[in-house]
Amino acid sequence: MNISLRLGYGLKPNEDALTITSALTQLNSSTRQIGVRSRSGAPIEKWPEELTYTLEERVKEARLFRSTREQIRRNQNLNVEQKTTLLRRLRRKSNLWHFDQLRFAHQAIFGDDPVRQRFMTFWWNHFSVGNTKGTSFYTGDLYWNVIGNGIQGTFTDLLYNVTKHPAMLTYLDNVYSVGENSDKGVRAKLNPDRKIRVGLNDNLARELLELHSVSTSANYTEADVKNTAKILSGWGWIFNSERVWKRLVQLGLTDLSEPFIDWHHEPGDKVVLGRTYSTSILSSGQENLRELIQDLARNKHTIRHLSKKLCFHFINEDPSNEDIESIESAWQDSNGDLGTVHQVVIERAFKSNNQPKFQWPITWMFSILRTFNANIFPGWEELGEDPFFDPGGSRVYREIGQNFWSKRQPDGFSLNQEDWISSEHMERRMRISNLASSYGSPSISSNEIISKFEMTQQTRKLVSKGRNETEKFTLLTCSPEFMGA
Amino acid sequence: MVVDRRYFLASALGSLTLAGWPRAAFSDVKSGKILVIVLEGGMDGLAAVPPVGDAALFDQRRELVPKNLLEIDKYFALNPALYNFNKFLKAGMASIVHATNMPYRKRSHFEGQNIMESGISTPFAVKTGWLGRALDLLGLSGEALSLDLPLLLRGNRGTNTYYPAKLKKTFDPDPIIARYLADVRFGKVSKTFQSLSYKKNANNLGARRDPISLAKHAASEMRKAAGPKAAVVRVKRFDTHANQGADSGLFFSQLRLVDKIFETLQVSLEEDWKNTIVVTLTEFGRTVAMNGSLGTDHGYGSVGLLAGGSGFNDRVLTDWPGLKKADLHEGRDLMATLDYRSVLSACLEKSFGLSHDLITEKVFRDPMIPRFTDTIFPRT
Repeated sequence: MNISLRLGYGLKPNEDALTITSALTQLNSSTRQIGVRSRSGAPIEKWPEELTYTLEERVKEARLFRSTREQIRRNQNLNVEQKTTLLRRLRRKSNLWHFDQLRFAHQAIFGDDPVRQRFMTFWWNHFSVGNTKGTSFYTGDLYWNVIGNGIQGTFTDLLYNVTKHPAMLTYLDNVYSVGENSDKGVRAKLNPDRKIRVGLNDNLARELLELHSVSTSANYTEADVKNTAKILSGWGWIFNSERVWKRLVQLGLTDLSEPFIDWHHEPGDKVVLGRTYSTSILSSGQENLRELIQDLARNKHTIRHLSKKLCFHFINEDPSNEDIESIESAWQDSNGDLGTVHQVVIERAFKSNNQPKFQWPITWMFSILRTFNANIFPGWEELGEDPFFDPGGSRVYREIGQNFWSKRQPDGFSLNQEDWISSEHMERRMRISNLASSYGSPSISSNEIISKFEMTQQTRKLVSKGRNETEKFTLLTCSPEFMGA
Repeated sequence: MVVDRRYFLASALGSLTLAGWPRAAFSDVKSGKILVIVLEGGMDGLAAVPPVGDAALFDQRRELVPKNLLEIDKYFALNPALYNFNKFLKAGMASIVHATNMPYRKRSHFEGQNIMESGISTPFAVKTGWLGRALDLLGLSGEALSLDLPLLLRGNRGTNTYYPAKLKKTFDPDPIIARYLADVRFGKVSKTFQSLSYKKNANNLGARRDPISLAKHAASEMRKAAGPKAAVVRVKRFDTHANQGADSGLFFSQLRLVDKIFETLQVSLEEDWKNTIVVTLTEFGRTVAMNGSLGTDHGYGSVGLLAGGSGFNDRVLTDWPGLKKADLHEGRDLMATLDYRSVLSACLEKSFGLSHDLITEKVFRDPMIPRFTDTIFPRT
């Protein structure tokens, strides 16, 4: 039981117990997009094409949403109530990410690669993107494409691809950052009466250093942050602005995979953590980001910081030095090859399997649904009609405090169990548990689970106190063994 | 009152002489209450309480200074969002501490938030909060108006969270089942189930949980004789890197929410408003100069807003450092000339009657924190 909660989402009735070999197979398999059309329907092996979006389509939807919203707001023929109604309807209709939310749940409940998903979710949380300024349109691309492909490559590539992704550039305000001595900056100085707005925004630069790579243990200075912001200047534009987009189309600058505007970039040498990143008169400065990220990704502080974080999430909140060091050395020996690093994490997780590991609410919820062959999420055809979870399960995510599409802080969801233990949190667990048994149509009984997983005498005794299956279900799923406490 | 530096030093030194006083837990027994409003993201003190008497303000951030300011005195004005707070200020039921911060000069949200909640100047050094430890000294409990239990309130027994669920057609937990789970005794988790096993009025499903309603709930709980003596409300989104606004916009609307919380508390606490202190807490202030995206980046000194029926000495308490480039912290941020822990210590001393020495030793674990209680609050 423990290992399938630690590294996966429990075990479906027909699944064999997790071994190191099967965990690695899952980790390296390409994701199969499994879901259900309707709650009562049988699982289908492919997520429908029409609900799978490219980054271009996502950004286009975001532009459409924003321009329609502006039209409604500016329409003088409408009164306040009409505007409110129209805006609400627009928000419901622009529901691209509601399908993402659903797909995330379906994949966890029905998918055959939970180990892979757990690692993807770890990195998605590490590179946390909250819902502001249209980022919810893009963040699914970050999960399925950038991280989904990235976890089999190097950390350098992953860090680079995440940093220049529209979701991240927008969320941490880099899209507004314009160098004061860039071409645009110079034009602003020459035409002071035109009020061209330029200046650096150091939000992404600071979190790139503090959260995504070296962490505060590297003792970087304010100048390092500022120079990182200079290197990042010019990356991204206001992706959901129709006006900006039209201008870029005219200039032939529409490549979302390298969204760089050279006339926004601060020219000159930039020193970060002792290394100089220089631009020649002929280069745009675009290449500096790749160079910086290569150095950050290989920095020993980054390796230490991330090895610890992987330990906290998959092994123990108080990891042994041996755990941390073995991950660190895998990291160093493989030059940050994430496949190798994750393999060592899995091996260490199996070694420490005799200790409990407290699980996130989301991990716990998907695990009980999978293990009991139950489901509380609607099928994709039922989106918007479902009485409980409209839309896309966002309500469930929000209630258990783990909505990846919410306005949240850039440090992501806490890996510390203290942040998930409160009377309201436990109230939600009991509520969700009750819901899963009464509404999710589990096909296995609590007693069958107890004997299948050879659960402890303590758990058996606890569950026996339940007077009916619903009570037994709640007692079992909220037991120490199932919670990892 | 703008405290001049000599006066500031005198009062700071004055507190050190207190070190020889007897250390009783209760210098005089009081039944005061504290409510902390946590402003998450780093609240811009210069936008909340603009020092309009400092000419440099307008050079650095003209666009961020509201037009319809409320006048406090010749030097300071109040953001128009703080309409009710202004009324308290005029009635002597509120006070502003300016150019203050916890002792944290780096600019990380997460370190800063940890320090403001733990009350310890090394980030991530302890797993309890200053308010939780203070309550523990008194054997009292608090209440957090959030899904999780914030670090601020950890460290004592019996503190609960209140954040009603919004899941249609689901059932409130059965107290008997919660009791069975509590009886398993597996550490913190089972203790938490214990609180669900005696929740009498458990049917909160669908109850409102916006910050105003939560504040109202906190007030009604705190009015009960056996209710919590401290509560924490969180207001998010003060991290105004872009499009901060002035007379309207994101900052204004978040600050207005804070203002409404102050008003709600005064109304709902009724006669208990007299013995309650409401105090804000934020991880840091923001840069003096506006950035390239009509916002401000992480800074240092900020402002603390205090209110309560028992009254305050001054509308504004500050040792104003100035906004000229040379006066700024690292040439960019408002300097903090007053340790905010002094303000929080004063609130704890005034509300709970804990002695300053005990607070600095056991709560903030730093005996050098100056005592400001008599500077902030009238002697009783």
